[in-house]
Amino acid sequence: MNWSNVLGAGALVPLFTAALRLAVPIVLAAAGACLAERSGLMNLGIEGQMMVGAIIAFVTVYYTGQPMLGAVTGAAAGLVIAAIVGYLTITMAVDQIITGISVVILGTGLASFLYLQVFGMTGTPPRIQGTTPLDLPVLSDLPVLGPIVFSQSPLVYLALALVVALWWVLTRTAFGLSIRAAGESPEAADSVGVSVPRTRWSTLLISGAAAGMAGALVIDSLGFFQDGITGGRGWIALGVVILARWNPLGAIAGGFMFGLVDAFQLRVQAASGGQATSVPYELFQAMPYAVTLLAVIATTVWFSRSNSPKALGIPFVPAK
Amino acid sequence: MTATLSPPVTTPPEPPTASRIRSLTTTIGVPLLAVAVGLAAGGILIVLAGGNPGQAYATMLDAALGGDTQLGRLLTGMTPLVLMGLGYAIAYRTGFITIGAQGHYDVGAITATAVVLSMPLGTSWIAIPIVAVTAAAAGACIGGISGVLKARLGVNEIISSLMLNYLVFYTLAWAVRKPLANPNGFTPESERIPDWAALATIPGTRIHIGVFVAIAAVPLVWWLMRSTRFGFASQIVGESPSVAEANGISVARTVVTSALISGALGGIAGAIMLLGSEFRLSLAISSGIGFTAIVVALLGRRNPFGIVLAAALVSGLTLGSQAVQRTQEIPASIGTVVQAVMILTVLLANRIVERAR
Repeated sequence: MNWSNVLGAGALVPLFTAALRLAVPIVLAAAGACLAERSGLMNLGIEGQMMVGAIIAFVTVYYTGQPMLGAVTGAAAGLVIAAIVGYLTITMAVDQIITGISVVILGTGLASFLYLQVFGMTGTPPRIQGTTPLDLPVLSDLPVLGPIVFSQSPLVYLALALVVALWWVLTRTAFGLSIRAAGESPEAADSVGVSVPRTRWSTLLISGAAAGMAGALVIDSLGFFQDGITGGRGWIALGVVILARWNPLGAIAGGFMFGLVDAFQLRVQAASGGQATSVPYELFQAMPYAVTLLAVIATTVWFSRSNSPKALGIPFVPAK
Repeated sequence: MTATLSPPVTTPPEPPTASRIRSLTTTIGVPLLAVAVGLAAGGILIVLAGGNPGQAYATMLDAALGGDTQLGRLLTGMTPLVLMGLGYAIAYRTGFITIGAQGHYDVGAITATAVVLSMPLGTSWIAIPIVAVTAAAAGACIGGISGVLKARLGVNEIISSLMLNYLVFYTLAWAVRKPLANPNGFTPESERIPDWAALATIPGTRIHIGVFVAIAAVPLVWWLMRSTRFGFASQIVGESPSVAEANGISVARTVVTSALISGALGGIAGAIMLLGSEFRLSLAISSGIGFTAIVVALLGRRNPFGIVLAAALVSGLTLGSQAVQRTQEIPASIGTVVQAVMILTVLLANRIVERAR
């Protein structure tokens, strides 16, 4: 195969454009999870919320032809699934990890059920027309940066704007202060009148909606749905939260790295035409997961764990 | 991240018999309630799918328990779930929340295939012990990676074990396409294993020796948890790593040991499934069974004997929902939803009982 099709000068801009598109679902889900974890809550059900968001968005877009509406219904679906997590972990103070894993199983099963229920077992899988790239005036004419950042799908702009908004909420608002207090020292937060359960409910629902919309973004760029469509992106997003040091803006960088690896492996597969290369293509397919693992190890070692929110994963039961 | 998350509950002392009766009610009542709620949720989905719940559940029951063939399928289906459920329970006790069972299982199946296909000639008496040891070692390696990363570097084991699952899966995808590929196959798959390598069965049934391995593992794990130094250490480590260290128990060693054991059990489960039921390595072997094993461990309250009952229930549900999809065109994924609803019910009911005390 010809490596200049992947890494040559002419191929780099399309590579980075694809990288950003592939990164955005993970970035959005990770940014939402950052808020939840900063408030002390592990939302391990992200993969399930993403999966249900993906199927609901797919059905919406299939019947209405409106990708933007799909993003909204996908977010709503993710929020509903997150509410199950919230009732168990916040209201009832059940173990967050096991609840999250169960919700992933629930979401996977529900999504598969809904798909077969709506479309049946057809020979040709149904497809949707995703969003088309929107060139932002002036900005898209910039060299290099223009085509990479400013000729993306409107959903990509929306998602990135939401990520910045989440960062702003977390770091610059009174609500953000309550979030951080609930995650660092819930007792102290409670004593100064911050409702820890209400704060955690808010961040969890935000995280669920972000994950659901991330699912909508996945099917928007692929154009079809199948079982396991999210391919572990929800779990990767949780890894990105660690890389991002629980900062939504950091999630952009961490998620972009994943997107770059993913775009690279897709391009290698395309350039080799599915033909035998000296290196098996499964090695490239596995790269995003290997990179996530190595990056999480490196971040954990580099920063030590002391940076994680202190009350992360610990239920808070307000004194009566 | 700690595993024991419930805050300390202080209860006034009460007569021992009363508390024992109450805990017995919880032990039996909560799972029964969970089954009822799960089946009710499944019933709603069946109605939504245009089916008749009574008829669908009758089909399911028949597919799970309807005769000798069905019982054989149930027992062979339970086998990997029991082994991996035990592995999950052992790891969970030390506070090591692995979700790597899928990877352990896949690597066990790959190893078993590679070993038997590379033996020029053989008998099961030579092959089976070699497969058992290598598959267990392969599973333990994968489990051990997460264990060492957690124990030595503090790397989150949920993320690491999940990423390893994907890495093993792509190794499997490569193995069935290249080194182990069947040259005459249409889809990526290995050659069928030679007849001598298939696990011996009880004549006239599908029940193979792997079933007895799982049966033997149950009391063994129970003994490991109750009566050994490791079992005691893992309980202390799971409850409070600092107390463990203060009492001279190495947290790192206990966590790594439990990770190795759970990995080995998963590797053996994959090898048994391959040599006893599948006979050929393909991508289909990696079908989410690792998550199902977590369901089994949680429904069985992480008790070895509870895990057997839960495995029977879940395996029957899986076989039943596949039968319902074949005969009544109701998506088999209702089985997955019912499982999830059952665990969520268990979690909730346990919590309500705890609070009422």
